[in-house]
Amino acid sequence: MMMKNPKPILSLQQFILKQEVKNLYRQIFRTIKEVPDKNYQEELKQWARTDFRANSNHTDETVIKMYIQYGKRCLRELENNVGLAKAK
Amino acid sequence: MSALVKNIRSLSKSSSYLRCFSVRPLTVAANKLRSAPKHTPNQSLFLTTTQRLVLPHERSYSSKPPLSLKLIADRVILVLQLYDKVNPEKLKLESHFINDLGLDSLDHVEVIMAIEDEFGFEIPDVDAEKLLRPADIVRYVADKEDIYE
Repeated sequence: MMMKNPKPILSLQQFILKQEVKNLYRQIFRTIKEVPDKNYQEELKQWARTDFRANSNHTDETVIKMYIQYGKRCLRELENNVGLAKAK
Repeated sequence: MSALVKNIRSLSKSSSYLRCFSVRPLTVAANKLRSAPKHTPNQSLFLTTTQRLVLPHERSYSSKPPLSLKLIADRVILVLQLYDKVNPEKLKLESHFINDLGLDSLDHVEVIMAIEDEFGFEIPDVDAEKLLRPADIVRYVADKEDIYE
């Protein structure tokens, strides 16, 4: 999802996308911290890390946007599940 | 033992000097004495009175332990050393996360979150972007906790 070349000069659009990806990453990790079980927390963190890394080589904006949407969907799902787990 | 406590109470009643202290510390002191019953009553009475004058009347109300710049720096460095992608040998207060330590921006986000966990407050995204060296983090935490030394 991110351009990993050493010090690429980003266009404004790319810069905004990068910020968006970082924000998503942060939000996902904040949400994972709410998960009650420590083991699941570690597992989810590892999952998020590998997924972000695996898609870090994309340069096409449409592809990146698609993955951001995918990430947001996953985040929403995670939030819902955490909410349910807490409500119990 | 109860006779001793009574003795102390009566003493505190009779002497106006001791009356200015509350009864609670006296009973606490008496409890302390009960655990060390070696002293003769006279001695212990003497000890309680001197102890009461020496012990500072200071309460911490379970606040956080006091921080100093040195302590903050140590804790920041420790957190960074425990982060698996940072090479502990290259790590210095002045080394740049991305240029010197070879982290990417995702790692940087994780480092900042680890620091948040360590110091127990949340760092807003705008500030997190600017904390690119351990020294920056130390200054930021010190500003947040009102430490200027």
